[in-house]
Amino acid sequence: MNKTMTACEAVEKVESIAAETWAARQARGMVERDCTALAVGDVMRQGDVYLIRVPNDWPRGKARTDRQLAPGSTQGSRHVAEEPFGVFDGVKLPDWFTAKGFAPGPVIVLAPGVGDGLVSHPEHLYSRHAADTTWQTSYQQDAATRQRVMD
Amino acid sequence: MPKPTSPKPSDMERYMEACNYPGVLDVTAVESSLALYLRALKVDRKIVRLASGWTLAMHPPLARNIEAILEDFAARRVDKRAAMAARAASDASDASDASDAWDASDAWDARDARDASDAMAAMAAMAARDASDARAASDARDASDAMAAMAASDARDARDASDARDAWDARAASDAMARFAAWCVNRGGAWSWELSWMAVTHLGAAQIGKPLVDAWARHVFDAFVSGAWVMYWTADTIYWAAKPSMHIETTDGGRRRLHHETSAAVESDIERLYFWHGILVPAHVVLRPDWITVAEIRAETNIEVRRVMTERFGVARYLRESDAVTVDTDLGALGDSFRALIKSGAGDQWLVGTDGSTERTYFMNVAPDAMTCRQAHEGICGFDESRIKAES
Repeated sequence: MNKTMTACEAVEKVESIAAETWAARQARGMVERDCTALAVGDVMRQGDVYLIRVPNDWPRGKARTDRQLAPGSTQGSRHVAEEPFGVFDGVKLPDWFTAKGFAPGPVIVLAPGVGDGLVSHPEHLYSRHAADTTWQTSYQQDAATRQRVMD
Repeated sequence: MPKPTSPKPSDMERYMEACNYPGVLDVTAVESSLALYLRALKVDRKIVRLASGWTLAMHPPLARNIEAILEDFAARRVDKRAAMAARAASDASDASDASDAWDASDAWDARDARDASDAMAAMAAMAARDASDARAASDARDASDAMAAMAASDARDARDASDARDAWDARAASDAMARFAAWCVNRGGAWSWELSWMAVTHLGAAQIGKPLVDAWARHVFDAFVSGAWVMYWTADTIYWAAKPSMHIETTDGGRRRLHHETSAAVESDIERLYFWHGILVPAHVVLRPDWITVAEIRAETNIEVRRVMTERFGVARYLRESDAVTVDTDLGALGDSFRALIKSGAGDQWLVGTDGSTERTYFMNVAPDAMTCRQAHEGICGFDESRIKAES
């Protein structure tokens, strides 16, 4: 922790690290983040969307035809569960959510034997998930408006 | 014997269509309908349209009314002649039969239809303007009156002294008076009536058979479907204005809200109102965000308006140029990055970080009482961030 850093210096440091991260990703040709080893209860953050590994019998609603995980038409909303993911309405969030007011996003499911699945995004690294796994999605909220952050 | 008016589906359809603003405008039909309305009330007034570009100088009765409102704010007196005329009309509206008509199921159906229309958005815009003016006080109405009156009173004083001032001061004073007049017309209440609200009385009166009510209500209805939006009573004139053009966006959840990125979201002949994703803001916040200053943001007491101003100004620039301080820094949820919790000069807090895969820096509005980056993040993600094992 460094409390002596000015706000200006702190913002510049974040911007600098973001630029370095981007350059490193470009240099290595990275396109995805491997999440196949994540266990139940682990979370993958893709921008403002959280992919939470849940048990395969996790409650879910109706099957959806829309594969986009975040509502909206902005580029930042285009977190997409690609085939062979099945996409379902979300029903609940895990009990270990400590804050109230968060709404569940869709549940995405990879059946046994279908192979890995990708959650794609036009800017973020894709996330790779193993077959026979289930993921509950949730969103980051803006503290002032209590609405999903729009990235 | 005249055939009694009966509920006509076509009237409901006409009403619903008329709730899409601005819709048709037939000035002659509006003024004919208003003339019949006044005749039904046995009230004698001139009928004058407030058209685009109007000024108080062009409308002496309105100017006198506005002056009277200013004069009487302190003593809470009103223009008695105007009030009596409005009261007569109001009494007609509030009478038991009229109230029944207003409550009739057809009238409610029409209001339900209107709720999803431009008419409702326009009313919301007017309400938002009231709220904006009233925001600093616990008694919204009195505060609203007082705040607008103060601004206009200042302007009037300036106008009185305009001979001794330069042209710019005089113009500013005139502008302030015009803004106050527009506010009076827009705000509703004793003198100013929004017609989508009144017009449903005709549908109810027709449905439950109240011919005495419908004798005046049908003409209000006709004025509304012909393009009238509001009417404003003065001592010898009834002013009316046409429906505004509305710019509305639909949110992810299907909610309609006023918004336009480069112009007024409500373009009426009375005044232009600027909204940013549903928040009423000063015109320059939309048109000239480069005119926003840090001092202005810090002085803004409405948190939503301040948030919009900050967004338009640029959060990064705001944090740099305000008296922002760094509250905490750390290496992120996975310990391989860097993020900072920054408190602005206005007291709001922002978690500044990146996401591990893009070149972007994120400014996340977080709880003002968060003490650490971790606490701030957990407040906006909802869980213990140690559960996060990967980021992109």
